[in-house]
Amino acid sequence: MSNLKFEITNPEAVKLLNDIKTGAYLVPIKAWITRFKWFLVSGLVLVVLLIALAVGKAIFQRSKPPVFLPPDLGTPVPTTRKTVKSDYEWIRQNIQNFSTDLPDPVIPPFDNAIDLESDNI
Amino acid sequence: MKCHLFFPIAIILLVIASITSPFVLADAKSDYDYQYGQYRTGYSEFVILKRDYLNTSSLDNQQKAMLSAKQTILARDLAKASLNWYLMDRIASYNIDYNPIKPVITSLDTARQYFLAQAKKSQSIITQEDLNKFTQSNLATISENDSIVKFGIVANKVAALVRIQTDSSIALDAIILKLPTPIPSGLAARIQELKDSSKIIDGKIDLLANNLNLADAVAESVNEIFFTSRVEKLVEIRELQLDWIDRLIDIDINYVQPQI
Repeated sequence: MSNLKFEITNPEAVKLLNDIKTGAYLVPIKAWITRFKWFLVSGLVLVVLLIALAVGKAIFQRSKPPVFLPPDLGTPVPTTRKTVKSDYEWIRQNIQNFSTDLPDPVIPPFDNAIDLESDNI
Repeated sequence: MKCHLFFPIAIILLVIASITSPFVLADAKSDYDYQYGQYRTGYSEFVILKRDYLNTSSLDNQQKAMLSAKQTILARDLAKASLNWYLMDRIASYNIDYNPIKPVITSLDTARQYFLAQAKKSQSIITQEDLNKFTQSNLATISENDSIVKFGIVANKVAALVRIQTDSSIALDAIILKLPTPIPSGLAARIQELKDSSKIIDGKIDLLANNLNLADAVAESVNEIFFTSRVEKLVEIRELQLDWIDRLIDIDINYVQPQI
């Protein structure tokens, strides 16, 4: 049984391993975050607001507002009442049609003095 | 052969008769319209020919004017006769028997006969002297005959009112028979009111008819208020009749007609 052991000799790899062990590789990231932290916070808040709006809209669309309608009163039926007519309406009509104008018929003008003597034309 | 021809000819004659009968059986109104139309046409021609004659007294112009005068006189007197016949026809159409206007009807017929006689007489005019004599004679008698037509016009209105009164009276009698018995006292009072009102209207019509004074026809007919004074009476009677029939119809609707 041989116990195999790998030994890293590449200096770049060794350096990378040391950076990982010591946490040196996080230093530039922390520096970048520290530099742009307010931008990151603002962006985060914006994203949260957009998500909240999207969720709110989805909830609003799912629940339809109630429609308030007046109660059904049914179709209105015209109230037709048969009028009683007299058998003597025609007499009233005759009186209404009676003209009180005089002369009726109008008397036309006639020349009663037709001759060839006078100049009454 | 004759039998074969008879039926087609009879059918053709019947068809022709059915087409032409409305024209042949002209009524009094269309006869009057026709005669008056003839007079208007004739008179306008006569006026022109007379003016020609007065401007140029030639024998030819005199003859033309004389012929036209004869035709115009004939048309005039026939138109007057037709007007009287038209009024008589209208009065008769009311189918009433009312004594106060009977003298007017008789006078209308007498005047009509006079106009027809004058129309016939006018055809014997030959010379200008004949024409002068005819016209002078005509002017002496025409006023009385002309005045009758005004009385006829009023009598025609009176006849219409009497017809309405007769119809109303018949209607009241018919309604009384249909009323529930015993008649309630309120309704009986209304019926009595109608009877009383009817008598009042009858009295007003009688007064209007009896005021047609034929004895002084000429003087009365030329009175300016001959028609206007009577129009007021007609309006009054008509209003009373309307009120009367309204009350009768109210009783008919409420007590006689089946209620729905």
